[in-house]
Amino acid sequence: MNLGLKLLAALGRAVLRGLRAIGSVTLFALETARHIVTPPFYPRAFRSALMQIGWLSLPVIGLTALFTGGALVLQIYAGGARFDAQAVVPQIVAIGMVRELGPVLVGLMVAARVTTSIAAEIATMKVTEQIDALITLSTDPMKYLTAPRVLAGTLTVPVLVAVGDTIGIMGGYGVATGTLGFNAASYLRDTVHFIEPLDIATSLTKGAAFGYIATMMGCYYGLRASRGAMGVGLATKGAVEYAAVLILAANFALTSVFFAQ
Amino acid sequence: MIVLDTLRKSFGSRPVLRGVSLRVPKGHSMVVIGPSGAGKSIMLKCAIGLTQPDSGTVTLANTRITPASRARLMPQTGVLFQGAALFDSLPIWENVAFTLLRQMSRARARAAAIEKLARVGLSADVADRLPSELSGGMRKRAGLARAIANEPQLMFFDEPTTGLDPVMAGKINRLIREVVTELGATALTITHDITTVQTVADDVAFLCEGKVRWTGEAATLNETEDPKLRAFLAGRSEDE
Repeated sequence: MNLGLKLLAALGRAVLRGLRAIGSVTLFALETARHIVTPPFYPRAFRSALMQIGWLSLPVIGLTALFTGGALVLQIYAGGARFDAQAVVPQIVAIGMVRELGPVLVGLMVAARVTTSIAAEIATMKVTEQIDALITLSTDPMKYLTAPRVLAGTLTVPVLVAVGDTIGIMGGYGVATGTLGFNAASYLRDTVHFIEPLDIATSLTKGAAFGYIATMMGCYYGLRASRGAMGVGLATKGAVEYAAVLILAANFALTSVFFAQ
Repeated sequence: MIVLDTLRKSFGSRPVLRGVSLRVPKGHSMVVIGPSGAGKSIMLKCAIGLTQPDSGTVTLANTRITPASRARLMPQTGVLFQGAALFDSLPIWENVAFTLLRQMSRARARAAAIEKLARVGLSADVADRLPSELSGGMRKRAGLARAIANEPQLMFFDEPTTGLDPVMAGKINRLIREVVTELGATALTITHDITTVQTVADDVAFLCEGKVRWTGEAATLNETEDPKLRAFLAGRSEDE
């Protein structure tokens, strides 16, 4: 076989591998949705997932949003100064945080914190035969492990996004009023008046989608881990990489749906 | 009764099971021995329904195992995994009472779990500990308590003494024999530990290179003429 054909064959194999992976993740996502809405349900596992994904993510989400909001104000103020447009800082910060930065940052932080943790936990269960044990105890791993985590992610990440948006805006407010001389009352008034219901709806919808993706990818890679410690490492790495890529792709798709003219 | 009929399983081009057939009569305890790589673990996974054979059938309690029937049969089976496979995030009592929690209140399930723990020689004060806080032998006992929680009629043991010192291995073997006898269960054990054979087995099968080379009563094991089995029992390779 000449070099050209070899390259073509390699390309074809890579494309087929990619298509197979997309199909596999899509089927897993649909199967997960089915398991979420059909019994049996595991309320204790769900409550535990709510705590792990939601409550315990708050500090890192809050700090991330706080510093990002502060940095955003400084950037927009400096950029706006070139056009003598410093007065629009509150509006730009609000729209930037609520529509884009809040959901994306929260989604990526959840991927970093939660996706890795879910993938490592489930992959370890897989390599130590705990998943096999679940099956022999008449328990479907999709129902016991995946459905509660993905439902908790889908419900809590929008709340985390709302908290992140608010803290980010307040971080910007703090920097703007503390160091840039903005009037506190007018900054808040401009922020509140500028945000529209559609902005908030977009933010929360993105949060729900990112929560679904982040938790689902952790479960997907965890349940497919091969044997041994290396398998756990590969599952964790693959989960966070592809969760982050899918979150950014979904962000683009949702932004196009909501705001494309 | 446990019946494996002409099980074949390959991974890629490598055949692991080459037509394994076994029959464990009701109430009997069969131990399958064989060297590493003989196909024991895959055979056990096929028997439990965790792995689908390429061909052949598994029949448990007169029901042929299929993906649909497996769920129905699982409540009648108890499995002790090689590393016990206790759920890390749950305390020991919840591990033991995992299936009981679907059938009764938490208080009653906890009491039942403590009773099962006592049966395998573990005191009530381990009930609230996590699996990581127990020694290997204690984890095996807790795994055994979980396996017998539902008083199953079919029991499977995967290398029950691996990783244990000889004293603890002896205790685990005797416990297995006792609980299987008490429950009147049909049991299938895989091991490469001859002491397990001596304590647990009514019948023995020797699996080698994916095939059953010898079956018979445990008492007749040392009378075998099979050269590979004799070499295995003597702890040497056939050509030594």
